[in-house]
Amino acid sequence: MEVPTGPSGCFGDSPRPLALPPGCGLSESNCATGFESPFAKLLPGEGVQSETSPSVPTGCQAQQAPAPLLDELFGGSFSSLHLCAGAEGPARELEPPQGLVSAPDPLGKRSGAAPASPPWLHAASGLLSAAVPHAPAGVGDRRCPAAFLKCVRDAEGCRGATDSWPHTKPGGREALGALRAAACCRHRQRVRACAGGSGPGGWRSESVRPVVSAGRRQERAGPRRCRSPQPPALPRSPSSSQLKGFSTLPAAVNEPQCCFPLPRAQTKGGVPCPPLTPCPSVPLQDIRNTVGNIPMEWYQDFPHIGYNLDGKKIYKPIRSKDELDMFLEKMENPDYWRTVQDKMTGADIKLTDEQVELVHRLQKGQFGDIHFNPYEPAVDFFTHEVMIHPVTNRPADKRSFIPSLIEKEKVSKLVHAIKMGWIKPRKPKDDTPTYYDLWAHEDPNSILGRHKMHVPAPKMKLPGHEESYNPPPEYLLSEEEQLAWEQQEAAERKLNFVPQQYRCLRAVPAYTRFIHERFERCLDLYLCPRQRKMRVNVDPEDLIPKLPKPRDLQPFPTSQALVYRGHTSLVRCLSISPSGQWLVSGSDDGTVRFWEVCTARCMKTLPVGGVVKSVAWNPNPTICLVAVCQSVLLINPCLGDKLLYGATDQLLESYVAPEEERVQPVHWVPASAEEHARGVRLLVQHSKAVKQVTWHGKGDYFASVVADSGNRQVLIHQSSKRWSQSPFRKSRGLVQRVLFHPLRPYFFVATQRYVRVYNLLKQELTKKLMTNCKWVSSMAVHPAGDNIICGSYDSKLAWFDLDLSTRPYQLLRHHKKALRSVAFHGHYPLFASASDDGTVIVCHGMVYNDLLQNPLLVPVKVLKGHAATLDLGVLDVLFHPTQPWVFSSGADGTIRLYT
Amino acid sequence: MGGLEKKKYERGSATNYITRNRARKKLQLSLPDFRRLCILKGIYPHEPKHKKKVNKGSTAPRTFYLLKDIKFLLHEPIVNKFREYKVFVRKLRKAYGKGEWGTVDRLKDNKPTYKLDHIVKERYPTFVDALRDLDDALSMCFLFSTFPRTGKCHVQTIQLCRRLAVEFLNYVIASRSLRKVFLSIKGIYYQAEVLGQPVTWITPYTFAHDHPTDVDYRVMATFTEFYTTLLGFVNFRLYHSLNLLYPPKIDGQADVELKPAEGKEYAMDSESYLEKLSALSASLARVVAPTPEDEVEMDEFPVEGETAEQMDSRKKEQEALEKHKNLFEGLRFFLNREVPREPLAFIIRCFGGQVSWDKSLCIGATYDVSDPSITHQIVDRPRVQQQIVGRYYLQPQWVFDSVNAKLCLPVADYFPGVLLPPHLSPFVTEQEGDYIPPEKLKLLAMQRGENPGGVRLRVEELEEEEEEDDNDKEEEEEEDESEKEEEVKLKKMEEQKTQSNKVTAGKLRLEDRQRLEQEQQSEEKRLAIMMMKKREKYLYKKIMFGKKRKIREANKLAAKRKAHDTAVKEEKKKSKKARRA
Repeated sequence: MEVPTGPSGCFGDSPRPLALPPGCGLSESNCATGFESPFAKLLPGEGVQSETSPSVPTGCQAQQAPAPLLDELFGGSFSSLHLCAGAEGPARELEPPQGLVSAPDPLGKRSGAAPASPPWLHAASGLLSAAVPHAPAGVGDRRCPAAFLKCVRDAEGCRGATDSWPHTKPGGREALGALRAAACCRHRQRVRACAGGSGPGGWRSESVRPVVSAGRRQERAGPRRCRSPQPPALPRSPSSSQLKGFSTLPAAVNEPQCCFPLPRAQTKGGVPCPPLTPCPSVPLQDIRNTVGNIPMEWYQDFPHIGYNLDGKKIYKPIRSKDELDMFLEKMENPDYWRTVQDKMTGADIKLTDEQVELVHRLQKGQFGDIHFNPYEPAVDFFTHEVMIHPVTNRPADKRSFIPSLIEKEKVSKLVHAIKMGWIKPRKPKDDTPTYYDLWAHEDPNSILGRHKMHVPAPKMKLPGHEESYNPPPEYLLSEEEQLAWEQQEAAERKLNFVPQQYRCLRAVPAYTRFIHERFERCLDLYLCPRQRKMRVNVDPEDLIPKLPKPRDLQPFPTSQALVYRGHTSLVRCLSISPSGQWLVSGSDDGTVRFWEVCTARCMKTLPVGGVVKSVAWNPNPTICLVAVCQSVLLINPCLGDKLLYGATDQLLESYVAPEEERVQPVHWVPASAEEHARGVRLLVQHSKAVKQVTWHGKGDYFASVVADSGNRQVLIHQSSKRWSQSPFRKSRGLVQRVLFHPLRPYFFVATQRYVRVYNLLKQELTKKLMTNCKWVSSMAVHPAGDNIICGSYDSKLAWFDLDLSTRPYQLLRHHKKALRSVAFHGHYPLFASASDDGTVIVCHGMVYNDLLQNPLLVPVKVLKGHAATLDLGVLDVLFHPTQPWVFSSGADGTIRLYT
Repeated sequence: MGGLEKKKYERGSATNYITRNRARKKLQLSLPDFRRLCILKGIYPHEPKHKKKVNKGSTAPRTFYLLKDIKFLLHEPIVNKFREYKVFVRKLRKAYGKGEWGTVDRLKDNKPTYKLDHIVKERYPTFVDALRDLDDALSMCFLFSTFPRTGKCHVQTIQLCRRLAVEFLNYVIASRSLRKVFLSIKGIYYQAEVLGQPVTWITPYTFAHDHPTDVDYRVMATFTEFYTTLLGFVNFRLYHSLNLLYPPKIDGQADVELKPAEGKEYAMDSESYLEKLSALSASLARVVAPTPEDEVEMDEFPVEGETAEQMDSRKKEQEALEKHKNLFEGLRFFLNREVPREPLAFIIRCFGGQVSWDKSLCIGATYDVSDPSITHQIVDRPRVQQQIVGRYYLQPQWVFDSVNAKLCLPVADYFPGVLLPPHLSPFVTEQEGDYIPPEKLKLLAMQRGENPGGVRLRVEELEEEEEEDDNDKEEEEEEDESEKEEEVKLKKMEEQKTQSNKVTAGKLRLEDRQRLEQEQQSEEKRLAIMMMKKREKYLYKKIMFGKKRKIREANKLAAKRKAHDTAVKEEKKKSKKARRA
């Protein structure tokens, strides 16, 4: 391929091609083909290269660009290369006929005027001014010079193309070319018109800065640079003056840039079909395919990819290559890497070496043009030095030296705000180190008083074996334990986790409640009330009081000796003769039995026809008399010494009825003969059932308690005179027990909660003892008479020291169930209590004569033996008058003797 | 008697306490602010001795603060800072709303900040006080340092926590003060003795956290705010007590070693600084280079009233401690990649061992797997493919158990793939009557210097032999027994026939004096207990109940263990038989 050196050389020398015309051809091609910025960069360089290199490759070659390379470089924008490359192809292709058609007559004229060495240029310029009527108007337009130049270049391009056009004759070729150029110029204007005014503007707005700035830089340097190379570059060119003229126009500052469409036309002139027309036509828009700037995917399903200017379908090139072919081609074709596909036409384009070089340069971020010097010496138009002459001679404005009112207002506002403290100046930066020796000057005296009240938080419990990841097997929970653990409330659990065993450390998972636990610790630290608790490490042995050993307090009953069997129902009461030889017991089976103590023999059984609540042997050893509670019976048991019981009978019979009958609360009835034979001597008939009967120590008086609620609950009887009286005028509650003081004329009355002590001589209340019990059941007096014990149904035993207080000296809770009976021993310092739990507890109760020394109470023995029946255990307890023996009667119908 | 009428609840304990709401009103703070203040200042509610008196006769549940505490809060400078901050937020919101960006900038420049230094000093007047309260601070910092860098709390806090935790670990390594370690299912417990104070902390296993929703992270963040300040100061002081630089610097020599080869630059020094520090493999730079002569033997001053025996025991204790500190001295460990690196590296370095790991695992590896001088390689997989001769392959539990036992345990039990012996808690000190697992007994014997390992081995062998013999015998015996049983039956039948009228000799019942004595004593005791006062009796019963429960639990554990052992033995026997068959 031969290219005439002249014109191409003149253009090639000029640096102008590099500068981009923001408003001209490019803009139009842009608006048509949708250029993207990086590509805009590529184009000028491309143009230059193709121009400067003498061997312009064929269009086919040019189109084969390394698609991957470019894609890499430009991303998706590479398709635009296809577009513009393809855009010019058809235009050139189609232009000639059009030009021929549209301007038939100029063809003839200009063909003659064409012979000058660059005749086509001449022709073109002449043509532009003459034949094209609206060209001047175009010149007047801002874009016009550029348009013109483009025209010129097109013409040149067309010349390049003509060289490769074999059918034209050399002579007429130029003329024809010029003509075509003119025609295509016109055509281009048309195209531009149809592309709309948005072209340049649109491009500008979309354009990428580097390009624009490059353009601007050149703009600044433009006049000089443009001028200098041009004269030598275009010595012979007749159009050079015109060019010059254009370039001096303000818009022509852009002029150098407009060269780029030209080379593009050249390089891309190739296209699939050989260039039929020498005219390269306008490169602005790809007019081979008229579909415009649309996504080409729209044509995916069609055999064609658009329409040419004639409205004919452009068919897709046949691509029958399968994967294998593609691969083979990839392997075999050495130019495969520089082949790219034109989307618009579907054709393959092979990039030239120059283009590849250009791509490389751009990849490195260099200018596309090799010759472009980005570091031109800058011309300093305005120096920093003060000149003697002002730039402008205008006197300074007044406002330039009068302070601004607005500013003043603003400043005063700020000042006011600072004064008022609304605005604070920026704080100075604190430059003390974050950490330092805080405890450098430790002063133990500086401890605040607050720290004395400080209760440090208890530390968290340290983990035990069960928390190990591999604990001993005994610490793992069994299934039941695990179930129990799951059913427990979270707060009740002893462990807050289930012990687990893992084979190896690698198998241990994260503990899901870790954050929870830390959080709970935090809550404990600041929300939990703290209290200082004195934890006394007490040895439980120390708590046990040091008491004298029971062994040292002997004698006391220790074991069961005898059992008195005979009663068929529960034995409620016991009494013993003052000699200690005979025992009497009353039972629910309606009998009173007399026993010999030593042999446990029942000496006598006396049916009395009713429940026996109480029996009492007369304490006078010279009298053998038993009071049995029913209505009260006085019985002579006729046991033992005959003299003794004979004397008793005599005593009873010696009674002489008084002259005047006194009103008595009871009836004294002598026993009938039958009863007399059985031993009953006297009947004291009460109006209501009698609960208790008790003798005075002398053996003459006895008191009985009636189950009544009035003031006649307590009656005192005198057996010798067969006389009874009710001592109280007023009821003070339900009387439980009454007792005579063994030595002094006192009378104890136990109601439910209190024990009242009456002086019988003075007939007044001496003391009222608070028992601190709910319901007193029984009472006993110490033989010395200064101490009382009270048993209660709430299983308490209260010891009163009458000299000390009206409150109990000690409250003993030895029994587990209700106390039924309590008793003192006559000589020994012993007392016993019987309870429903089936035990008799014998205690040592030493009373000292020294008033300063409190009584010593020591339990010495728990006696068991009675079986509990009907929830009742031991009902009565009694000491032997002389021996340290204790009798107990139980609900199981037995009486037991413990010695 | 005249005088003014005395009003109730105006004197005494009622005036010493204040309810939370009244306290809040007095301080004029919102509840969250009050909470924060309480957390930072360490104010906590007190439980009054007589709640009813303090509560003015009511028994409603209320929390009470000491009035003195609240008064003490009144002049706390931080309260003002809280208020300032509230104002700041209000102003900022207003400026944003109006779009006054200049004001926003200005306000942000003047954002009120506060420092907690004075509070730390006030709460812990002496350094020892601070050390005593370090447990929670450490645990919290270690937890926070494992949090993800997103959400939950500020990234700066997390980074600070990590830094402080690593610094503390480095201190413990430098001072060799670690005493006990424990692998629990919750995490790893460590106990160090810092200046004579035991400091215990727990670190979670390194997994991503499953962040619970019912946890208020603000509360935890407030605690952490205080704890980081405290820990920073404590670290500073601790480092200075060892003549170490603070912030810590890696020893120059180690630093050079740590540097990767040229061309493979990992990161800038300033960036990888914390990572290098947290590798825990390098020693720290000191202010004054230590010289071996410095470590003079301490003079001994006999304490008055101390016998020679006590002195001896003290000396012995000291020696044992020294020995414990140098437990791994001269050993070279290599950690496989499946082993938790940080805890193991920390522990091994604390006891003087050298440790390394795979280069790709973490920065700071000092030698390679193939290093022939490695004595122990810690492995946590069932089998090791290519074993190198000259080193023990051990499971990580060996390190932990050895530290707790204060001696290097025999390695045979800890080979990879072997069923590990139980891991016992070092924090348990059994008292009289407590259940002691047999493993612990064994360990105690070992610590006393006996050699139960050898004995046990022999015993085991013997046992096995015996078992075998037993098996043979049993088989024979079984046959014998069946014969014997028949004989017995026959005899019995004969006896029954002849038994009809027979005078049998009476049995002599011997009086067991000792038993009688005991019975008597116990009865005496029972009677004495009856005479106890009500309150004492209650206390006594409670104590006895506790004791009994303890005994019951111990018995239960022992029984469980016995059952387990027999089951295991059975299993063994069975498998042996199966093998034989």
